[in-house]
Amino acid sequence: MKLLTKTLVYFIITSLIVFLMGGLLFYGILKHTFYQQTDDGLLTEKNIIEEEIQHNQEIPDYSERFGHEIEVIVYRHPVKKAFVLKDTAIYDTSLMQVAFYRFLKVAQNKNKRGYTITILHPLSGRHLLFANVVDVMLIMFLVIMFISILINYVISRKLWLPFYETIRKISNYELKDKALMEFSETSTFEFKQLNSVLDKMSRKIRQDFFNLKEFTENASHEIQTPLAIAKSKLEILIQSENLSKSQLDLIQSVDESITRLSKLNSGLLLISKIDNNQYSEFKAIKINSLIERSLVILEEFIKAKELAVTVNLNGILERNLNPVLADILINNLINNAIKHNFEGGFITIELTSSKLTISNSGEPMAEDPNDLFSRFKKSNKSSDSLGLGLAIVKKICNFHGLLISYINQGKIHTITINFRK
Amino acid sequence: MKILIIEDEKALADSIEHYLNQERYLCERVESFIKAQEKINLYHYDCIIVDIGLPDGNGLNIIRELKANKSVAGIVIISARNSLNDRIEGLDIGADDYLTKPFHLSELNARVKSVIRRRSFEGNNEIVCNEIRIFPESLNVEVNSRPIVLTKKEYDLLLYFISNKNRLVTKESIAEHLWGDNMDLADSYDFIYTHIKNLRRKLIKEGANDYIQTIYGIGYKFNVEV
Repeated sequence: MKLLTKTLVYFIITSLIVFLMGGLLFYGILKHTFYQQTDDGLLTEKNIIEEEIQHNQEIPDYSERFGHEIEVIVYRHPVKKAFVLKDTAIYDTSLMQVAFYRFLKVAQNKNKRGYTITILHPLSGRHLLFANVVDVMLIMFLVIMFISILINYVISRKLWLPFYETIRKISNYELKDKALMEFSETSTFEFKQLNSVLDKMSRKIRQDFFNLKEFTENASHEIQTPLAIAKSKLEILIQSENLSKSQLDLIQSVDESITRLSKLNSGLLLISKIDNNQYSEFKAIKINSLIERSLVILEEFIKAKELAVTVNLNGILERNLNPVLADILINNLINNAIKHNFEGGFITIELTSSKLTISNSGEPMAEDPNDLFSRFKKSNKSSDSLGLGLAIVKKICNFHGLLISYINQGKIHTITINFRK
Repeated sequence: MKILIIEDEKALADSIEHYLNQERYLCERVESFIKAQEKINLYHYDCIIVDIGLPDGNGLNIIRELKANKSVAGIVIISARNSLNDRIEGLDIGADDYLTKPFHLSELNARVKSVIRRRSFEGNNEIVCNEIRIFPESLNVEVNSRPIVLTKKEYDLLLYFISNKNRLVTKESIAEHLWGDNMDLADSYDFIYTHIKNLRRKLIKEGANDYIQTIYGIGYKFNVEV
């Protein structure tokens, strides 16, 4: 639920309660005032009548005055004193309905003679009042609802605009991008604060990210030197006379490990360099010639495995690519197709003006094909491989915005690179 | 033949010096940019091995200085950075070769020899090893003055062996020499075996000695002294 909708719901619930209570209170006050006024009127009337009774010996006709129904009875004997002020209902026979009245009855004695005064005041106005209060309250409530929804809409369109803008920027941001996240100016304090905190945070993360990348690269370089030393020492050691076969085997095994480590290191270095945008020079590269060259370089390995290579160049594929990376890309792919092939298997390379497809025979994938391009994922078949080749391929494709996909149908593996236009 | 080794890593410089000394080269070594500057201004060297990443300066500037002084010394760069740009820049300003760390000493030795050879004979030279005669210009090989036909790989292999004669050369260094970055393809050792078998057969067929000795399956030795 949107924050604004949420606040709106709370607002509506609260205002409903407030209006209900306000209405009740308002009604109560009105009723109180109304009764006070009615009672005041009744009492004043009573006083006037009493005064008149006291001054004039005879009793005037008070059947009705000021819209009140009045009944005055004078007795020749004293009566029991009484004072009643209350609501009452009287069945009106002419109208055939019950009517509500305010009822005042006073019994008093004067000079040993009693009299009673009864005054009735119709209360029909009270129901009208109640109906009016409910109406007014309802209308007010609807008006306020309408206004708040309207304001809400305007607010979400205007006031929250910088917020949504910020959200959009964050979700579109990539750390690798050269540019910093730039937030638009806003006059709202909270959004200003949010933007400044995000700005600070993203700068910090970026800084850390690039520091780490730089560290990785520097570390990779630094590692090569001790490896070079170790390698050179082994090579001198191996020249010594009288080394036994087992000693030489040990040395060779160490030497191979060093080579492996060094290659692993340069593979990771390559990936980190791509990440660091260090291959930003682009040239128009013809994939056709890269394939032809790669096949010449790898000819010996193809022959040794007696692979049948079919090349269908159905068009010229030329794109702006980094020359070094393009070279590595094609070489790694063909290398891979040779390495994971059977003796006497096949490789089919198909090229159109926008797509490169390399199929090769080989053992079916044991693991999830989605992991194929992950680092250090490799089939156990050629465990002497580093498991970086296809990760590098994927990296290079991502870097150039090329789509790469892999399909495994039994013993046929197909990698397709869509160069798009 | 005098060689100057400019390398700040003492242990690595030790190894290089040790290996090249056995090739009867006269080696001198410095570990800083300043000292390297002194040396190149005072003495003449046939070949200079320079590390680009020196603590007090960029090795490329040494090369620039050598070129400004019209030095004829061959220059081999050794660098921990395997970057194409560095390589291109190094070769552009006049270095003869570029080797990325870690490298095999046998590979460095072969490169140094080749650089010196090219420098001193301006290419019109031949390499003679007893009855074998190699003409690097035309890539031809003669045994007992009779030409033999070698494939490119066999030729490279022969030259590599003769550059490192009487040394144990590991299969790995041969694979790297012949195939470079593609050597991690499985079975490249089997190819070496095939190439060596063919090379040996061609040499012996024309009456050359059987110089190539297999050492326990870890490498080979081109044994001239036997």
